[in-house]
Amino acid sequence: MLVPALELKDVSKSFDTNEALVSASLSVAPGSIHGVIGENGAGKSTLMQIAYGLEQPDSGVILIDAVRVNLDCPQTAINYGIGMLHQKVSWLDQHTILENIVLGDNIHSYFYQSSIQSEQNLLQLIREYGFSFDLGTKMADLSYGQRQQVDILRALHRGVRVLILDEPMALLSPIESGHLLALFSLLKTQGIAVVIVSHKLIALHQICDIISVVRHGRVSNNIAPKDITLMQLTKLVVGREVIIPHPSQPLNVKRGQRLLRINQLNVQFHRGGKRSKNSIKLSNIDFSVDSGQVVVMVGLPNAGQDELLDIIAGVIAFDSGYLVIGDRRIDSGARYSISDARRNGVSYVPNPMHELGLVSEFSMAESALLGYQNIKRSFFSGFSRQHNFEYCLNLMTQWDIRPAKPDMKSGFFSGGNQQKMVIAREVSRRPTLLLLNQPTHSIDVGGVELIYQHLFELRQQGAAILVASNDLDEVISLADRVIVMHQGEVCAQLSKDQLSKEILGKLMLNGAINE
Amino acid sequence: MNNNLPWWFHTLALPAVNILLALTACAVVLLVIDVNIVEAARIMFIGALGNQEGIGYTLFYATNFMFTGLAVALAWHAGLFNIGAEGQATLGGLGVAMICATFGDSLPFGLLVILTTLSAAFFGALWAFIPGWLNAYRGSHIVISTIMFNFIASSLLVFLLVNVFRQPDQMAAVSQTFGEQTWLPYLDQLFKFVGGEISRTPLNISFLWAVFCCFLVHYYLFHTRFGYETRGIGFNHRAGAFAGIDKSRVIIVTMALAGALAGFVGLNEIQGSSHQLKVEFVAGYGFAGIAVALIGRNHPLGIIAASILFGALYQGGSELAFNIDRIGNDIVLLIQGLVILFCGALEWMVKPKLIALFSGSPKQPVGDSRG
Repeated sequence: MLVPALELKDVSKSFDTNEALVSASLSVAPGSIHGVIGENGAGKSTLMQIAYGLEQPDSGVILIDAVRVNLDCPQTAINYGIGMLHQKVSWLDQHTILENIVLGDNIHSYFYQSSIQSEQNLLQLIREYGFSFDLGTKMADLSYGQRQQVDILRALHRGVRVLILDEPMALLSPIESGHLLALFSLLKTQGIAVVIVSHKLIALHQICDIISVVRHGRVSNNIAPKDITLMQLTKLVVGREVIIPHPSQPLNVKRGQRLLRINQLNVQFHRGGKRSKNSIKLSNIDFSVDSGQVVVMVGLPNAGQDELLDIIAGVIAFDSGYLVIGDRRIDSGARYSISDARRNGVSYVPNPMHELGLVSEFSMAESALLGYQNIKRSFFSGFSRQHNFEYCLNLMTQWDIRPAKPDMKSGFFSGGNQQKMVIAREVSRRPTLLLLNQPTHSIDVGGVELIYQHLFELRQQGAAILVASNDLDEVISLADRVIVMHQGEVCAQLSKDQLSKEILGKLMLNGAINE
Repeated sequence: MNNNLPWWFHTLALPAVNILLALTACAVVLLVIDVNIVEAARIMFIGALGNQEGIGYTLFYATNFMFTGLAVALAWHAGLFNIGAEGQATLGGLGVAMICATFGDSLPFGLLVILTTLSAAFFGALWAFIPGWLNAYRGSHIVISTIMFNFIASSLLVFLLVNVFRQPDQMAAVSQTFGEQTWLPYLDQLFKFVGGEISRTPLNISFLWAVFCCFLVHYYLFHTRFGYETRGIGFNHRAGAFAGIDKSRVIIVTMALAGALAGFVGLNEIQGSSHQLKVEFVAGYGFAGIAVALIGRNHPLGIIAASILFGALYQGGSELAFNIDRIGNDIVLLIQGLVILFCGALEWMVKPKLIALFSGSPKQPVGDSRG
């Protein structure tokens, strides 16, 4: 038996009055793909942060190659060969890939640093692993998926032996996810251990050698995926069997009123500098959403879905064309803000990556009011602490948001529970038009099921729901109609019975089924 | 963070220890210049808190600190660093003086007090509104513009004193002394009214107004929609904007309110105590307000305690300078500086050790718990 590359023994950690980890143990074998799954707030992220030196455990031991180490900061962890990929990484956008990677190299001289050696090493790695980019490219010109690959390349350059990834597939298109999974297999053959924290049980079930289940701050099971079905796996995570992909619910509302109409909408954005390849153009967007309908937009990252949702919600302006929301027509240049949108019955759940839904220093009870602080209530009752507390507690029990402590700071909740609160807040206002961007990214299977039920219920009551998602399982579960975006244009509209992953994949990539 | 700390740890124990350290450092300085420490400590304590007169002066100074501390803290909750309390207080004093000089003889006292209060608030608010507007709509940095406005305010005051307010028969740059009918009641008068008796100090009813303002600001920040919006913008202005909060409006309104609070210094100093406009009547209270807000943790109720502490140090230090020849008035600045140093800049020096001490279970370094 090989010595584990990374081992955490009896690690405990508490935040405030919350026990995040209670003597959890995890052992990662070299050259393995190791999945870590668990409910939102079970302690997965904390466990990984301890392994990367971002948090110090209250008690417990960390061993690397069977030697006990003290990981007091991420740099120490990196020196021991542990690498971690974050969803949000800051890069120097106007500098090249090479410059960005060399930035982290050890400094040998304060006056002069040569990147020749690093460059040779990087070129070697690029050849070995088949990365498809040129070291001279500027970061600003790369897509999210490519940036992630640069991050992996940087980790390899620093001699990583245990690579930790937090929800790596969440924001990738299906094709990019495929590339990433292939890369993991390649890393594995080089003796590098890959630790993946994710809620995408289907993908993990396929590629992992071993899956650890975290429950209530403990690592409760270590299982080999081949011994167990997907359904049994869901039971280990949430305590009951959940069918995934989640089944869709048939639509049984008669075709209703038109709640959103987008007519010949055009807009030009510049992002990351005027000449950057990431500047986005929306041209001739023209579709509508009726009450009692869930419409899902899919597309590669930067195909324009995010911007379109922002426009409908009044966050950004557009150049020409018009919108009709309910019975209000909005022309380009008209005064239309997100508050106007809310008054018109529009609710918007923003992309969780942008962290716009909550104020992390607010208590959850205060965050549960965000965006609706102006709603007419009597002057005194509106901001009574008691009232807000009860309102929040009510949402927490209805939506299974844990821990059910409205006084706790929003930022102390796990990412999935924060996102659930944002969705709960918006859905509970009974909007006529609900906009959601990547709603279930970082939410566990049980939570996803709950959210879908609430969304279907809202649809039943006659709301129109417009979702942007790049999770094809989600698209198929939720959509009554799918709109495929490609380079800022609507390239296809599919009804529910026309959906299949193959067709969607081709459309997203090429904008057409026949090349 | 550790969990089993008693509630009073951060609010009482930690500041107390830090202030004690600051005073110890101060004692070392006194030792070096060969002053009897025991004697000095006695003078300071008695001078600030030992008798009615000392307490009166302490609370009189605390009144000024409360107003300027609130001005800094309120702006902080909107994510703004208001360094301009000095200038805002100057303008507030100007507003009070103008009303007293114009209407002092003609209006009944009750109406006059309302007018001076409004005038102090208006002029203070005006002086903060302009930097606020510049920040909101022109992107100028609030720190830079409020500092500039401090200079403009002091120049303006000198100009007006020399050219407008100065009496023809006066050499010094001071205004006339306003008639006794304009004076705010001293607290001893108030006590006499209800049957008690305390000795005469500059302490006047604006002290009660200051305490009331602290509670008012607390209510505003934590129990109203405007306070909610203010804090939302202060913590995360992007999420705030997403929630439909108008950032520019929050900045302008918050700055104006902060300026109004600072302006009330004029009530205490001019209408309450000196009864005439002098060149440097603000005397650094505006800048000390930053320290008060820091030690009061930007919490309106914490500011009451921090202000009394600063008032006591100010009064105690003055007594020290008055009674011991070797010590000048700079001792006040030294004590203030050391308190800020220990409570603000060196907060993390003793905090981890105290946490370990108080939480009962000293934090084991990782790996020590097991062989």
